[in-house]
Amino acid sequence: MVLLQVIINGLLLGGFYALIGIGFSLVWGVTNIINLAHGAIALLGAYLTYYLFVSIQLDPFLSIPLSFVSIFLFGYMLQRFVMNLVVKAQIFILLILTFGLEIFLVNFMTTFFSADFRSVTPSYAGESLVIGEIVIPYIRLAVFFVCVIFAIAMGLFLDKTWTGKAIKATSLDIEAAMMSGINPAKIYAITFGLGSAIAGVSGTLLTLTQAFSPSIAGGLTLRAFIVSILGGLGRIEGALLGGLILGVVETLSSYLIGESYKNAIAFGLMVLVLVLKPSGLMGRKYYAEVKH
Amino acid sequence: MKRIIIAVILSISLLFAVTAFAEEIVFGAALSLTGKLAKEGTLVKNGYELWKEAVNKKGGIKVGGKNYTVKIIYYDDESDPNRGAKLVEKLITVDKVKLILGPYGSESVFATSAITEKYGAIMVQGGAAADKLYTRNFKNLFGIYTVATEYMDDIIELTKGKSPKSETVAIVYSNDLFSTEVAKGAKRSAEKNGLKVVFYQDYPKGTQDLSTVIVQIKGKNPDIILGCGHFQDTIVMVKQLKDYKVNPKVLGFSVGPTLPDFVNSLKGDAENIFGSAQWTMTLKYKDPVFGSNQEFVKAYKAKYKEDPNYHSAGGTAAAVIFQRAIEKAGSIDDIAKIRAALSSFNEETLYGKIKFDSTGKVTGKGMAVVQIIGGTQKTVFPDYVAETKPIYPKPQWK
Amino acid sequence: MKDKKIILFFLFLAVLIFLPYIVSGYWLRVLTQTFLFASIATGSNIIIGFTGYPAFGNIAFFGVGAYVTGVMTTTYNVPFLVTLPFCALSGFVLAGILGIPILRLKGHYFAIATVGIMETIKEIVDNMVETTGGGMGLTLPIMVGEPEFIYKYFYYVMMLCMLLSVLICYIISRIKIGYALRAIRVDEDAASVMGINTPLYKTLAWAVSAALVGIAGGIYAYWLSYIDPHTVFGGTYPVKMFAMILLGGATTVTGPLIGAFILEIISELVWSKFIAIHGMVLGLLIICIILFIPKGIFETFKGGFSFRKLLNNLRENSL
Repeated sequence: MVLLQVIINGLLLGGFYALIGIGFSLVWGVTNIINLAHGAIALLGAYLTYYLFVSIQLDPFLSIPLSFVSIFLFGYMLQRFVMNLVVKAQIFILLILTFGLEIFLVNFMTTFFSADFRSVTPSYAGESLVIGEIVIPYIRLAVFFVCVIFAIAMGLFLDKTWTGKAIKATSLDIEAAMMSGINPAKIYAITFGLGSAIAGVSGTLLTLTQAFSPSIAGGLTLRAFIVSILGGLGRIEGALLGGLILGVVETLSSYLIGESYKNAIAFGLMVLVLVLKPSGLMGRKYYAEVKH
Repeated sequence: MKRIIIAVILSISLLFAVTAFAEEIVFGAALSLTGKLAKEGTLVKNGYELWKEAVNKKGGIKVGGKNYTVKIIYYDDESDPNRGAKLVEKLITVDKVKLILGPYGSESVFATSAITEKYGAIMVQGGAAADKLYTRNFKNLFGIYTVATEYMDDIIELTKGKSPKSETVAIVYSNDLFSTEVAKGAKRSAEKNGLKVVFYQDYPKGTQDLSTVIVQIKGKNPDIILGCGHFQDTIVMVKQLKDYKVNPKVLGFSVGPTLPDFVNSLKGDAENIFGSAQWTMTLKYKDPVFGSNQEFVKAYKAKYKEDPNYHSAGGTAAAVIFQRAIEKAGSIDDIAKIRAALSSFNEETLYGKIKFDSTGKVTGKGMAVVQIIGGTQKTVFPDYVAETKPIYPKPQWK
Repeated sequence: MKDKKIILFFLFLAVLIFLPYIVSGYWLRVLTQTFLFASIATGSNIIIGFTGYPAFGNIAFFGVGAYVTGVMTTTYNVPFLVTLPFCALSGFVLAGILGIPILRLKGHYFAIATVGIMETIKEIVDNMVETTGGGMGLTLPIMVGEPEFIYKYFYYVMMLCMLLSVLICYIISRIKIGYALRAIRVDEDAASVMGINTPLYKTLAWAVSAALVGIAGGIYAYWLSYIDPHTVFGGTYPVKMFAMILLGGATTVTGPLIGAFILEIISELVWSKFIAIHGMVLGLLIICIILFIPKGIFETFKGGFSFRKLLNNLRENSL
């Protein structure tokens, strides 16, 4: 029974990890940018939510659309006016650029929002669904569903809309995409905007389940890393699966081996997947591989 | 025109006269003003600044019949102990400062005190509680925080003789230096008091999920749960304890309940949680500089428009103790004399009755236990400083 | 031209040798720190710049070296200098073994795998409480002696470490392996077809790189006398290292060293001026380096400084 509870906990946690990973994976797969500032961008969403809650008592779940739109604009501008300038450079140049951005954003947040840990506790926090001995906290369940809904919506967007198809086309063959009239600069910006927006939403949800400060940005980015690698790049369903696996692996290893080993096992698993199946558990060949 | 020139000359000479009269005593501090410890570092700095103003308002530090105006040189170590060490070196060798006020954080004090020790400078710190600081045979390091291994003693003490009786305890801790020592001390203290430790587990620093640990604790159904970690993990733990409906008689944390953000972050869920405090606003101690702890609190509120907490009070207290020792030593630069004055220090300050043992750590000061009651923190133990009686056992989650 | 460069280098060396007798303890420490970064950047450049494998987590071996020295000096009372070959050896062996599977990965995948390795090692060290002190960190014995002496000592030891890294890089660049690595960087498949044993050479390159970084870690540990997993594995080290390599020029022998000097001196000057916002300034600085001088200052400003070159750089990689 405890084991079942632990696995359920892992799945609930995994939903959140998946959301963190989706945006990261999308950006990586399409634009070939490993966005080390991903966690910091997620925190922008978290702060937006926090301040809306504190100032006008806006429920975090209601601030999701606001987070999405505003962080989308931020990401769009960033890609359009900064990242696009170096996007063709060698990959480690891009790595450093995004790390520079991370340092900048984290310090920006520390200066203006302070290094205090924040958290949002709405009145319904702590209520749980109890089935026999199994406890399922409502907030975590809701967070899980929001994550899954976003994953599905993203998948549909990429498959069904013109912009989505253009994103996919660009990611597979940028030259061919350009010839069919797609403006890659714009597509890149939209992709980065979407990736950031989803990060922003995950930041919003983060405020409900834990405490955050600018200093946790790096940890969030690392989770996104693992999720993307486990699932395979650029693939929404891959990130979803990767997130769930990571969540369950963490809680299970914590239960079976020891809480303090869970990170070591998560990272070890990532390295193992990289070595054995670099394209991820659900991966097919994707842009990043074709190019390099 | 002439008049203006005269006025300028006069004011310049006046300026010279003033600076010539008031001699300076210079302290140095390399604190974390940015990075992950920016908050605590800034609070400690606030404490130092408040002390400086109070002392200078009174005419400065009196040594050998002379008044010295206090000046403090600050540097930012960016929460990096190595950088802190480098900056303390700069303070000592470039700025020629030998009186060092400590940084915040055990790692930083660890690294920087190695430098002060090497150069024969002296450090008084109100920012680190690790026991390991005092096992290195350093002569020139004095600390006013009750050490980590004694952190939980008073919470455990509080449960004695209460009914219904508490018999079992679960201890969970973050695997960093400070928290590990707190947990070790808590375990020792619990066993000494006849409690059974049914769960003892560490978790990675800054973890974002403790659900598995909580589920395991739930299986043991302990009377007391003690969390030894930092603010971030404390919040996660409280939220998840409530999620999984774990209801101990006592829920206590080493870090968290004493900070105002605790109630802001958790709202009603913070109710009845215990915390250990180096210091609280309501302690009734006298103080040589401010008159009393209450006066200190008033002065702090007036200057910073917020309540002081133990970080800032620790900064002020460390500086006050430093000052008293220098005055007693009768010298502003004889390190040996100042050290002797600190070693034999025995005075009441806003932080409590301060005495140091031969290793430089404070002894017999103890911790105050606070409990969140009605959305504010109340000092509930030990009895002689308590504002109100503790609520025991902790009511179930709403 | 060639001679001029060598003369310049030795002049620079002579200045460094006599500097401790002129500057203060603080600046000695700044310089020692700069040497440290120069060693890490130069050592890492063998795999990053020469071979073209972006080992973002190369700092893992720095941590390993630090802990080798830490554990040997505390648990086994081994003299400090004796531990350094072991630091090199452990880096060499570890990278040699890990390199066989990991170096099959390319580009981003390799970069991320190295980060994964770094984090895994960090977590393992974090959990080996008995030997490493875990998250509590490890206190090394403090060197006895006058502070003046100790600081000069570490200054020279760290300088030697830096010179060793430069020397080995120089040698590598002149012998067969250097040409092999260059071939791998330009086109690995072609190199393989030409009969170059690419797995062997790149593994060797990584192992040597790890050994050099490991020595730097060992010296760092004894110098600081306190290490903990969170500071020696990661932090801002990887990004600083990369920024230095880029600034000075990735494919050259002395580029990373020059990059280290420039960046350390700049950040030294920057944060004493902007205490409150220096983090933001550092972030912006790195962004600007990437945007405007991604090829390093020497390559970019070969024929003198001009704004047009900066803009050209910007245009070259933009979409």
